[in-house]
Amino acid sequence: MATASLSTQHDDGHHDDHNYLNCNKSILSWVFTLDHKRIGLMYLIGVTAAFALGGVMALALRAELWTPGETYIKHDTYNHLFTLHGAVMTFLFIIPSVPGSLGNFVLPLMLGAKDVAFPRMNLGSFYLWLVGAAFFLIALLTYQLDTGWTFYTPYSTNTSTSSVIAATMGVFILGFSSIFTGLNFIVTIHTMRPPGMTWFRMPLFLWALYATSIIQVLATPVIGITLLMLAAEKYLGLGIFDPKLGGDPVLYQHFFWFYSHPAVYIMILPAMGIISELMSTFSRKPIFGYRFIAYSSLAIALLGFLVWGHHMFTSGQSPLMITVFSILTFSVSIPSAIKVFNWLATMYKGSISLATPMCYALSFLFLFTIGGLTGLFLGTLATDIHLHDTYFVVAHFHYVMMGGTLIAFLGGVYYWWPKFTGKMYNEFAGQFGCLLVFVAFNLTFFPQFIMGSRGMPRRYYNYLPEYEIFHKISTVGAFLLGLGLFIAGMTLVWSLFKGRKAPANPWGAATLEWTCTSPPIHHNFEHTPSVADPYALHEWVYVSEEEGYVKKSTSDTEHSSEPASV
Amino acid sequence: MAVAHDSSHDEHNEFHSKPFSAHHFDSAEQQFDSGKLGMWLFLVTEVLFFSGLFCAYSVYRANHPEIFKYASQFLSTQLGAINTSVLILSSLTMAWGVRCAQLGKNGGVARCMALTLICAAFFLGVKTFEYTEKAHKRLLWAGASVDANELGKPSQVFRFGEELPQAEFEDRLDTSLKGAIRYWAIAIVIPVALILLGQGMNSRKIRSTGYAGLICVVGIMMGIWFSMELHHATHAGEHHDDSHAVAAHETEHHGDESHAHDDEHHEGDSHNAVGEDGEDHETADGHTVVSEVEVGLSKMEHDEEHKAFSIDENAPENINIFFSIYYFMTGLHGFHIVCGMIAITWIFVRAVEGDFRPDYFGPVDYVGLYWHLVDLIWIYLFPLLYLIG
Repeated sequence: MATASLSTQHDDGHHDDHNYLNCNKSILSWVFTLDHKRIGLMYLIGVTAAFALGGVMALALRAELWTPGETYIKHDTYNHLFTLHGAVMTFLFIIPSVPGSLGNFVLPLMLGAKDVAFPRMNLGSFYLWLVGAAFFLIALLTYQLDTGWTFYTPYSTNTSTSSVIAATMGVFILGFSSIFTGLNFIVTIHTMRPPGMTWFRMPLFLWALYATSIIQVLATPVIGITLLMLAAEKYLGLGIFDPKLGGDPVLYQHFFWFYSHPAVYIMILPAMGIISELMSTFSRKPIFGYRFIAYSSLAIALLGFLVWGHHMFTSGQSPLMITVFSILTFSVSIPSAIKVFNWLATMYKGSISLATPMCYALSFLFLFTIGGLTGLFLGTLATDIHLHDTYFVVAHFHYVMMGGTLIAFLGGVYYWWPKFTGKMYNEFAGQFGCLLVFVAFNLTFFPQFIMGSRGMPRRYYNYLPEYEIFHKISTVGAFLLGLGLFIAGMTLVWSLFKGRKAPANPWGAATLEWTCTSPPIHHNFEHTPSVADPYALHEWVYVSEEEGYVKKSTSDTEHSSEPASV
Repeated sequence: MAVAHDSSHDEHNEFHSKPFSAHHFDSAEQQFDSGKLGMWLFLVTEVLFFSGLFCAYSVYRANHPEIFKYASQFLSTQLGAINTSVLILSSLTMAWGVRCAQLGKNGGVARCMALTLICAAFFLGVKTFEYTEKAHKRLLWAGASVDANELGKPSQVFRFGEELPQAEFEDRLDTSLKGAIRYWAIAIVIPVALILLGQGMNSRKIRSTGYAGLICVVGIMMGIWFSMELHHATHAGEHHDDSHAVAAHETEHHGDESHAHDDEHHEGDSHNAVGEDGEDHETADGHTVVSEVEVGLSKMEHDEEHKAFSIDENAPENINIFFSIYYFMTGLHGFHIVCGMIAITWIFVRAVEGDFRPDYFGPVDYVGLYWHLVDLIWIYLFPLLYLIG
């Protein structure tokens, strides 16, 4: 391993060392691969493509909102676009993003394992994602889906067209993809931890993925059955959600949010896990409050199931239910705040390095805090009645979902990119991209808080002239944001061709994935690595001739490049 | 550490030299535990999948108890009970099969799987009879009954008040079911062809798949035939009972003040105002409904004249919502039975191959767990749908 890290070739050939990327180059070896690393990479490409698609739609929407009334597209097109933007971003990008790509790649490595527990199911999960994406493309091409990503009845069953079926079946299939990933992760973490890795010696990213997987397994089946009922409602006239036949459309909202609120935590929890890793590594300090962070992930997962009613404060719930849901909603902020305080404490007196992943982690901290605190306004009944369905809500969840999950996802991709590809990217370009994303993000979404609190409703095609200035700022910001994300992406693509070869451990992190080569070999480790404290950063020292960190000599045998002597 | 590593490595090699050992596990135990935990988690997702339906059931039963009381009279408790027993029997044979696999007795596993398959198929046969019978009585899901009316084919609508002549109904039912049996008799060609193909290709796997298929087809035919005979033996009495039950229910229904809205001309608005609040439920007359249902309501008012359909003058409004739930729940359960039959066939074929041994019987155990869950769901469905009132 040490010899592998020492080689300083700058071409993209790895002819001297085998790794998971080049051990078999045929197309079929990728199509039928059971290797979690390849599946993770395919997921990464897939979700990035979905994000690009959703992002282009977002820019099209922002461009249309440049002026009141028609700017360049018709109102129907606008409705189709915001529906598909929401659905694609939610179901095709954010939910599978971190678990599917980074989780798949990193989880077995962090456990020192060869693979996840069910590799075939893992591949199945990716293919289900592809099939789900195909259904979304059908919905896109038939160009008629205008229900919003929530598919609320009775509009979706009585008025809207057959694209609803394509899209809901897509979501149904993506749900199974998500369940398979979650189930796989739970089993892997339970049964494949190496000897010595107790629950509380697991890296926090694994805790976050574990909590996420619990939600995926428990919540996703409910959206599955709900959408099946929706399809039966539409095609057969099941009547459960149809007032004409004695049904209750609000019941649909309950079912939908019973999944879709926990789904918000499917989106944010793995992001929080990434941040926990980044904060410790780049502050060169063990994570502060390990157990609190671990437990708070579980607390968020469990409390997340009890708050769905806060999406329906204006849907005619009883005042008692609203009060209960409001209180439970506030309770989620406690574990979230525990995490934020622990991250801050981790940075305190740390030796902070502003490498690109850390820049994203700091952006996350700032944006997620704004997103989280504005959530309290929406969880409070009195203010929510005013703010419900305004741009304030749009800004809030973009601060959490985009400022939170996307930024952490980017941080994670930049962090594990050397491990994924064996290439180092240009640090300055990475930092510049991050700065641009951060500034442009605030430029896009902060004005939306202001116009939302002044009454600009969400999803509207037209607006009063007094909101025009905010929409214009927001649109400018959106395009700058698009540019920033493009630069961030291109920095990584560029590194594939021109990047220098990555050392095994470029950041000095102490989790197990950094003990194998970059990129890892097909079976991950030459031999099972010994388990240590995942945050014992002091054991790793920077060695300049390797341009990376090497573990101190206490366990030199673990790093010998000799074949396993066992 | 190194010593521990050595010993585990030997074990590791021994484990990996055996068939069906996955490369990424270290021991048979780890492989089995992972599979078992995975299966349990899958069952959790299955329970939650059905929980949506149980939830819908609870909501509608709480909001419209009169519909459930009335409509469940049309389900045959007798057939439901028989099906319940059949499934419990199949759980026994399945558990027995798991035990055989643990002991490495592949012949026993194959025999137990065959018995389980025949029970599952019998269950589907009985269900075929039940669905057919209800279809002929036009006891369908909510949308279907409205459509029949809107299509202007009132003759297709079975009106409980002016019953379809018994003889005609029996004729239609008989014709359909005999058709179904004929269909399955023809379908027997497929498993027989598989058996012959397996014989010709000298493939035991294809042959045993064919035998499993044969068992399924015979089981379904037996189920249909059995419920037909049962129906012929008891239908006069059963019919009599039904009328009684309905009559008895009517009086009870009229006494129920809080749900006294069977007046057809008011079009069951209060049914539609199924807000969370009880107050709404009592007072709503189309004007005080919660805003979310307004869209649906206005459409409904527009359709009012088309809604003359009713099963019985005294029947509550929208009784088909019960059948919506009935068909959806039993249909989804039936789909799970079919999936289970495919999985059991897989186990049957592997048992004939002699794949299982005391340190490798995971698949039998996992399919067994799944099968018990499917049975368990039916054990909830039976009282919730058949034994009301």
